[in-house]
This record gives sequence, C-alpha cells and structure tokens, in this order.
Amino acid sequence: MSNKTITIEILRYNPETDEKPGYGSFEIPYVEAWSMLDALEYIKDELDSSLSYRWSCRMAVCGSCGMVINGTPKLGCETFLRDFYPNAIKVEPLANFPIERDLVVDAEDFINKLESVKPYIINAMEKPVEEGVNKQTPEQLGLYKQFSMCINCMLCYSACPQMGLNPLFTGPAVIALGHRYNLDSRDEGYDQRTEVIQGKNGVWSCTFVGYCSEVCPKNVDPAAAINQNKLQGSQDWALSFLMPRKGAK
Amino acid sequence: MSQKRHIEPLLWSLFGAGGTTIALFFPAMILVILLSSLGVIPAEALSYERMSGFFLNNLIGQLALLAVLVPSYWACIHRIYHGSHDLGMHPGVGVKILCYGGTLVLSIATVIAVLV
Amino acid sequence: MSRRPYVRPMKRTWFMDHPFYRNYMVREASCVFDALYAVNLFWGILQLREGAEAWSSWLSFQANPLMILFTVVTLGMTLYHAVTYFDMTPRVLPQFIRKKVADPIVNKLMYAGLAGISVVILAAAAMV
Repeated sequence: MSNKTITIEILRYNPETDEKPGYGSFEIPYVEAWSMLDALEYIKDELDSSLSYRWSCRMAVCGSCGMVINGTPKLGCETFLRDFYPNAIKVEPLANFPIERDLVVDAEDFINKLESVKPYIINAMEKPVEEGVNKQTPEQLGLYKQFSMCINCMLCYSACPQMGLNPLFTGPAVIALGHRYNLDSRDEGYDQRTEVIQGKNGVWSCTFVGYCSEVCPKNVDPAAAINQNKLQGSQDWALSFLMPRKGAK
Repeated sequence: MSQKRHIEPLLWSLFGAGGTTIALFFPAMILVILLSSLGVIPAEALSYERMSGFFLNNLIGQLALLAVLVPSYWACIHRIYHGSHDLGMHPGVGVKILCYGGTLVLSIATVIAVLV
Repeated sequence: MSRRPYVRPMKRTWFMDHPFYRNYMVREASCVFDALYAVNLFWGILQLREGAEAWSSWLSFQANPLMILFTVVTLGMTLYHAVTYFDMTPRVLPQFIRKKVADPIVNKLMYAGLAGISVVILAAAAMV
C-alpha cells in the first residue's frame, strides 16, 4: 500500500449514545482503485468496527449504498476516491430520511409509498393459461423501459427539496414506477394508481426542480415521469367536465 | 376512478400556458419597449395611434394581447405561491385564495380594459 | 437495542447548499420580475385607454433610469426563464411523443419559435 492518505469525514449517529449526529474523521490509505464503499469497508475493518452503512452488490445494481458525498447523492460503489484526492471527502446519510444509525436511513416511509402506487401489473381479468402468453412488441416495451430501470436507491428522494419541505410527497422514484406500469401495454391499473399519482401529495407537490433526474444512477428521469403525469392529469381534469360520467366507472 | 376533483390541474395548465407565453413573447416585447425608451428605435414605433389602434381597436391585436398577458399572470403567481413554500413560509388556504383570487380579478380587469 | 431515528430539520436556506438548487431558485425568482413587468404592462393598457397624454406619461416612465435598469434585469431573467423552460418542455410531453421526437428537436423548435416571434415583433416595431 502506498503512503498516500485521504481524509474521510462521516456524519455519525449512534441512537444509543448520541443526542444528535456529529462528524467523525478518518484518515485512510489512498488507493486509486478504491470506491467509497472500499473506503468505508477499510474504516469498519481497521479503524472503527461500529461504523454502520448499507451495501450489497458493489456494482450499481442493488441500490443499497446511496449516500450523500460532498453534498451530492451518489452510490458509494460507483464513487471513486481518485475523483476527490487529495481533498477530504464528506460523507453523509441520504437527506430527507430519518437517520437510523450513521449512514443507514429509515426507509419505511419510502416502502409504504412504493406499495401505495401498486408497482406491479394489474389486470382486470386473469387470463386463462390456454390463451397463451402476453405479447408485447419492442415498441411497447420501449415506451416504459426507461422508467423500469429504477433500483430503489432513493438518491432522487435525497435530491428532492420538495421531499424535505413536504414529507407526505409521494416522491420521484415511486411516481416514476407508477408511470412505468401505467405505460405498460399489459397493465390495466391506471385508475387504481390515480389517487396516489394525481393526489395533492402526488405530482402536484412537484415544482420540477429536476435534480432527481440529475442524480439518478440509472437515467430513469423521474422528473419527466412526474411532469408527464401533470399533463395527463390536466387532460383527465378537463375531460372530467366534458364526460362527467367517467367518474361512475 | 377515485380521483377527487381539486383545482391543481387547472392552475398548473394556466402556469404552463403562461410560462410559454412569457418565454416566447416577453423577451421581444420587453426589448422593444427598452429600445424605444433608449431612443434606439423611433418613438413613433410605440405611438399612441399605433398602439391604441392595434391593441385596443383591432380584434386580432386585442386577442393576441390577452392571450399573451393573461396567462403570464397565472404563471407568475403560481411560481410565487410555490416559491413561498420553498422559502419555508408554507402559506395556508387563505393566502392561496388571496393569491389566485387576486390574479383572477386582475385577469378580468385586463379583459375588460382591452375589450370593452 | 432501541430505535431512535434522528430527523434532521430542513434548513430554511437549503437552496444555498448546492448550485443546482441556487439555479432553481433563480429560475423561480424570474417570475417576480415578470410579474412586476406584467403589472407594468397592465398599467400601460389602462394608460392607453385614458388617451394620448396618459400613454406618453407611461412611456416616459419606461424611460426613467431606474425603470430602464429594472427592464434590463427583467429581460435577463426572462431569457433565463426561457432557456430553462425550453429545457423542461420536451420532458413534459407524453412519453409516446418523446419516443418519436427526440428531446433536442423539441428544444430547438422552442428556440425557433422564440426567434420567429421575436423577429415578427421587432419587425412590426421597426416598420413605422
């Protein structure tokens, strides 16, 4: 190992001993190939075994290691020390979530919102097996594919100031996923998702800051998903006057 | 469909319309008034006869003026209202009615001033 | 082990923390200038109705140095609004349209619209 070192400042919080979070500083060897996750692993193994953080796949697929690095929400596994060296790096848990411990946040509210949008294919009628498989053309797949890439890493929630201002806001990833199923040719659940997506705490709590799409590691573009639903909602709203019976379905 | 009718889609549509008219028409309008004030273009460009002839007595001009100006009010108030939320003021229903109600009054006043 | 999740309060000055947020607030603040300018235009309409004298007093108000300064700032803010607005426009369009027409094309069409409308207005003003 080289003699070069780099300083990592981590926002620490231990619910059993700390009144509020505070920064802890660690000086670790600088290795060019190390990701932030490698650095945290080194700290946990060699310097402070109490350090808590989430991780799993180490290849930007699982969405576990979201954290705020120098003020920007990022995945720890695809953020490299070499992009910051020789400056110190500041690491904080995702913003707009309660801190459970150190870099671990409480995602329960996010999970509840995710369930509320029914992120699965809804069919009015079960199709008998004899009728064969559901066919979908590449074009139909292409329509929703971008929005299906979400890995629930919650970086967009950390990036969204409206989330912090109104914690009831359904939020970028969840609306993008609802949109993904609404756009799926096999799905008939549009009406069931309307209350969540078109509610006051749905798309109408968004002011198109757009930072959610900027930080998304999978280029989902949740800001587009939300604002496409504002346009759709406005059309539905106008139509509801022309065809008031639509509500009786 | 269990969608409750609330007014946000209408307010957002008006915001969208106004945001578009501000972006497309305001730069040139502001520039013309600015250039006239600075004397770069002749004062006759904004003469009383010309302006009142087109914007108060020509139906195309009158409607164009309303189509550009009225939505812009709604775009501005929409952003101001949401901006106060961003600044941590969290205005209540009363302020909301005051903001958008005031804009409605201004819109009606504009329509009357231009058409009647 | 007891759970005691810590909720960090949202700072009132959150938008100062990141350039992206600062740009967003400038974008949103542009509407304050445009709102004042729209009221100024409404005032102009009322003066125009009053007659030639009232209209020329409105025009001389526009030439007031402070008003010129405000107008210049408003013009800058309006152009910033236009740039950010055109960036957002393609992403609001329904996904099936977005799949057919690439975002940069819609974005360029918006600029073309701005250019076309501006030329017409400026030409109308210049053709005295």
